[in-house]
Amino acid sequence: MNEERRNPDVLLERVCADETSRGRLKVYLGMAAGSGKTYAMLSDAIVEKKRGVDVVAGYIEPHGRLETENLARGLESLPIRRVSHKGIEIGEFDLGGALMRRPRILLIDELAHTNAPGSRHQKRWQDVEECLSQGINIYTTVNVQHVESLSDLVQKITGVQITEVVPDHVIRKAEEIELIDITPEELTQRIKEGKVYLREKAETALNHFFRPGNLMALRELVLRLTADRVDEQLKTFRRQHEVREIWPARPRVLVCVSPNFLSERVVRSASRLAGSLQTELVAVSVDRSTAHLPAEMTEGDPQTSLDLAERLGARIIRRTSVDVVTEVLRLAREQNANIIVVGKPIRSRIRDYFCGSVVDELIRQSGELDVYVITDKAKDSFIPLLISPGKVTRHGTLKAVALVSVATGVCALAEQVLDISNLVMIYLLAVTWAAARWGRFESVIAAILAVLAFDFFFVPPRWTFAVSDVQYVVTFLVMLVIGLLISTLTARVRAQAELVARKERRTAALYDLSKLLARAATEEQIAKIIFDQSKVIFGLDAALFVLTPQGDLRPANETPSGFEKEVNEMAVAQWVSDRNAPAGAGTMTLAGARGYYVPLPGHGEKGIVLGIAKGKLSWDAEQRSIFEAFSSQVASTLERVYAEAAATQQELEVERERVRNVLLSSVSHDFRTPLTTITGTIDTLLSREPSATPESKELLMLVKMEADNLSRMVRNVLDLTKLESGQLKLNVEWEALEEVIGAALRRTQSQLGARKIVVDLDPELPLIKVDAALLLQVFVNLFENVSRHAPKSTTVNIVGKVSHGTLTLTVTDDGPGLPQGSEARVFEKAFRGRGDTEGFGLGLTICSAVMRAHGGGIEARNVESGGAQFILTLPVPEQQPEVSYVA
Amino acid sequence: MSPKPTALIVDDEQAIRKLLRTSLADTHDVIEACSGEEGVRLAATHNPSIVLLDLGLPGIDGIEVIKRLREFSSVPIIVLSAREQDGDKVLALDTGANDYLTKPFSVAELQARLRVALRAPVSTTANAILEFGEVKVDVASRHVSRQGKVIHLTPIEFNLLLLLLRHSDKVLTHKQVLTEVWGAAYAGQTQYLRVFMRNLRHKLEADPAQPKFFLTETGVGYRFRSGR
Repeated sequence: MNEERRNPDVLLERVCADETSRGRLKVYLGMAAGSGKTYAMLSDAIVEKKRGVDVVAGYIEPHGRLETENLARGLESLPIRRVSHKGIEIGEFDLGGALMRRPRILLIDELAHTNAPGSRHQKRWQDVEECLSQGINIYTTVNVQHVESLSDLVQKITGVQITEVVPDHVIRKAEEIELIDITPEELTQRIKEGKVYLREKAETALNHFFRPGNLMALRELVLRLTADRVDEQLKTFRRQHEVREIWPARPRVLVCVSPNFLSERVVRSASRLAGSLQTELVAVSVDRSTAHLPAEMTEGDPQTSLDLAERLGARIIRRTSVDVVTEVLRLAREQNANIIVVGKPIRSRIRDYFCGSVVDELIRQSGELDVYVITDKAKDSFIPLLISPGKVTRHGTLKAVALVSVATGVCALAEQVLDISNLVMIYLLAVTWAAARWGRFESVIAAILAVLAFDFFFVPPRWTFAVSDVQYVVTFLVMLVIGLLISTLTARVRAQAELVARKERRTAALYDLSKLLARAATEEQIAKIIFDQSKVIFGLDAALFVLTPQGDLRPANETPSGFEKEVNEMAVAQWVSDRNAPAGAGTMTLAGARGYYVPLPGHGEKGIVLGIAKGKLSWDAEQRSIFEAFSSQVASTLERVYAEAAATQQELEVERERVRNVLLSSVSHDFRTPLTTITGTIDTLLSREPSATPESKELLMLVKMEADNLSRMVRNVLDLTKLESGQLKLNVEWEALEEVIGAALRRTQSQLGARKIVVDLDPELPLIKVDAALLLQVFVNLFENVSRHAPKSTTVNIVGKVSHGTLTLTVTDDGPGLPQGSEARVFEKAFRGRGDTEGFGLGLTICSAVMRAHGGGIEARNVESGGAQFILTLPVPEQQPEVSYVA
Repeated sequence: MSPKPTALIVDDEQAIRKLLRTSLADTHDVIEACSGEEGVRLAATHNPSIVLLDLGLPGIDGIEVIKRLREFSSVPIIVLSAREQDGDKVLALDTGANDYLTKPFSVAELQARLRVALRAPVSTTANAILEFGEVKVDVASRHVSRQGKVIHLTPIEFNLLLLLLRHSDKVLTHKQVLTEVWGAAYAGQTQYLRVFMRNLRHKLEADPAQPKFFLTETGVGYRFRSGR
C-alpha cells in the first residue's frame, strides 16, 4: 500500500513551530570572546529601533569595549539588578523588570551566564526561556564553548575547564542563529590591539585560550554546528513539503547512564550522535543494588549524568534490576532504539576475566542492535575490589577481633583432636559467620586476622609469623581468597535481599497511600494523608497547595515546620502553579527554597502544587521514583475528588431545574385551563347564538380579545421567568431562518391582518444552530408589536443577509416609529410604547434575552422615512452540516 | 343521516370537558373520562372514533395513556397540551398521537383538526393525479408541474412530497419524516429536512417565506395544508 501518510511527528513539529504566543529567539553565535557577537546584536537592534520596533537592552555585558558601549547607548536599557554576594556587588539582568516592561525585542547578552545566588533562576538561559514563554522576542549571544554537548570537546581542545553551559535544546529551539565568523588571525590581531581584553590580560589570553591552534579548532566547531543546523532546517523543510514520501519510524539512540566517571562523556557523545542522526535520545539508568560495593567503586549517583542528559533533550528512563544487561536490551527494544551507547572504563584483563564486564555481556547479547562503546582508562584495579573494606567502623573492627579470638580459642581446644588443616575450617566458619551476621567490613577484617592468627598460633614455628614449611603460604593464600570471596558473595546476597526488602517497603508505603487516598473526599483530607504518609515514607513535611474559588493558591494543610506559610515558599509554589513546572530545592529554578514543589494536574488552567520540605537533602533514585509515584497518586485522587464534587453540583442543579420546571408547567397549566375555557366558550357562543344582538356579540368579542391578551401576557411572563432564571437550556438544532419566519407569520396572521409583509432573504442564507421555539417567539413578539403599533396599511419589510460570519436580519415597518429617544429602552422590562395600553411590554425584553442567549443581539431604531426598524444579529456556525443529496 | 361519531374526552379539568362537550355536541356523541385509567377503560369498552387527550393528567400521564391505547386500538388521538415544552408534544406524536393542539385553542381550529383526523389518508399508490394550488403531481409517472411548467424534483424531494401529500393536513414529526424518507439511521439529522423542505418550497410555493402548503410546525415537524 503506497497511500499518503502524514507523520504525526511532522504535523506536531509544525504546530509547535506555528505557536505564536511564544517569543522568537535569535542567537548570535561566536567561536570565542571578541568575535563581535554583542556588536552585531546591537547593530541589528538599532536597525530594528529605527524601524519603530520597541527594542530594549535587557543586559549588555560591560567588557569595557568602546565601540560596543557607544552602540548600546543608542538603546533604552533596563536598570541593572544589584545583588550583593559575599560582600561583592554584582550586576544582574532584572527578569522581573523585563517582564513588567514587556518590550517587543529584548537584548540579553551572554546566554551561558550563571546568575548570582538568590536569583529566581540559576542560569540566564532560564531567564531567557521565561521571557520567551511570556511572548517577548529575545536577541542573545553565546560562544560555542558554552554549548553543552560541545563543552567537553572544547575542554579537550583547549584544556580550559568550562563551567557555564547552555543546554542544546535552548539553542536548537532558536528561530534564528546568526554565525559571527572571524578568522583566527583577525581575532588575534584584535586581541593584540587590546580591543578584547586590557593589554596585560591580552598577553596571557593569547598564550592560553586564544592560541592559534585553539582558535582554528573552535572555528571549525562553530562552523560545523551552524552547518548541522542548516542541514536540519533543510530536512525539516523537505519533511514539511514532501508528505508523499513514506516516513519510517526513526530508530532512537539509547544511552546507558551508569555511575562511573565516564558517564558524562558518554551522554554527550550519544547526544551528538542522536543530533546528527536527527533522532530522539533516550537515557537509561538501571540501578543495581550497589550496596555491597565500596563507595569509590560506584562513584556516586548517576543523577548528575541523567540531569545532563535531560538538559541535552533526552528522555529519561530509570529502572531497578539486578540483571542490567537484560533490562537494557529490553528497554532498547521497547523504545525502538537501534543504537546503544555505553561507556566502558578500561580495566586490567584480570579484572575483566574474574569479574566479567557488563559491556562485554551487552555486546554478546545485543543481536541486531549496534553498540557504541566509549572507553577510557580506569583508575581502579582488580585487587581493591576483593579486599575493599566496605563501611569502616571501630565497632566492626572490635567485633572482628573478638570473633577471631573466639575462633582461636576454639582452635586451641580442638588442636588436640583435629588435624592442623581442619583448624583452617574453623577460621573460615568464623569469617562466613561474620559475613552473614555483620557485613563486609567485619568479614574482611576477620579474614585477614584469621590468616594472621592461624600463622601465629598454629603454624610451626609457633608464636611467630615465620613459616617453616613453604606449603603453608599456599594455605594462607587460599584461606584469604576464600574468606574474601565468601564475604563478597554473602554481601551480594544480602544486598539483593535488601533491594527486595526496600522494594517491598516502597510498595507497601504506596499501597497504604492509595488505600488511604481512596477514602479521601476533600482537599483537606488529602492534604492530611499527604502529610502523614510523607512523614512515614520520606521523613519530610509535605503540604498541598490548592486553589481558592478566586484562583489564588493556598496551603490546604499546616505542617509543624510551617514552611508552607512562608512568603518565599508561597511565591515558589505560585510560580510552579503558574508555569506548570517543578521548582525549588534540588532544581535549577528558585533553588534557594526550603521546599521542592511539583505541579499536579488540577482543574482549570492553573495547576495544584505539591510541596515537600526538602532543604538541602538530595534524593537517590529510589526516593525520586517513590516521590513520582506518590505525587501521581495524589494527582489522580484530586482529579477524582474534583470530578465527584462537580457531579454533585450538577445533580443539585438538575434537581433545582426539575423543581423549577414542574412549578412553571403547573403555573402555566393553571392559567391556560381557565383561559382556554373562556375563549372556547365565547367561540361556541358566537357560533351557536345567531339570535344574539350585535351589542352582545360585540361584548363577547371584547371578552375574547382580552382573554387573548391575558393569554399572551401569561406566556410572556412565563417565558421571561425561564429566560432570566439562567437555567434555560437552549435546545439547538439546525434550522432554516425562512421556516422560523414563515411559522411566526402564520401564527400572527390574524393579528397582522391586512398588513403587507415582504420577505427578502438572501437565497444563500446558511442554516443556523438555534432553539427554534425561542427564535419563533422572538418573531412572534416582533410581529405582534407591529400589529399593535403600526396602522393596518403598514408594509413590513424583512431582509436577511450574511456577512463576516454574522447573519443580520432587519424588520422594518413604515408606521409611526418608536417614541423619540426610547430606541434603546424598548428592550427594558415594563417599558410601554406609545398608546401601548395593553401588555406588560415584556415582548421585546424577551426578544433581547433570547437573542443574547444565542450569542446574537437585537437593536431598535427609527429609519429616516419614519418607521421602526429592528436589527437582529446571529452568529453563523463556521461549518455547515453535511447533507448528502442522494439517499 | 349516519350515526354521529363518538368522541372520548380525557381531561381532568371539568371546565374543559364541559366546553368540549358543548362545542362537539352537534357533531359528535361525547363520552368523558377525568383520568388516564378511566380514559383507557372507556376507550376499550366504547370503541370511540376519536380521542381528545390532555397531556397533563394526574395519575398515569398522557404519554402513558397513548401507549396503552395503541396496544389495542388505532383510534385517532388528538393531544391537548398546556405544556410549554415542544418535547412533550413531539414525544406524544412519536408515541402514536395523530395531532396536537396547544391550549388555549380556538374551537374552529379544534373542529378542523377533528375533521382531518377522521379523514382517510390520501391514496398515493393508485395512478392518482394530485393537485394543490397551481401544482399537479402525477404519482405514477412521478411528474410534477406548476402553472403547467414541468418542475424537476430529485428522487428524495419527490418522496418527501409524496409523504407529505399522503398525510395531508396531519402533522408529521421530524423523526417520522426522516425515518420514512431517509431511513431510521437519519432520525436525528434535521438539517436534511431544512435543506430539502427549502428546495420543495422554492420549487412549489409562490412565496417560500410565507408558505401556503408546506407549513413548519416549529420544534415539532411539518404539516402539508391541502386547503380542503
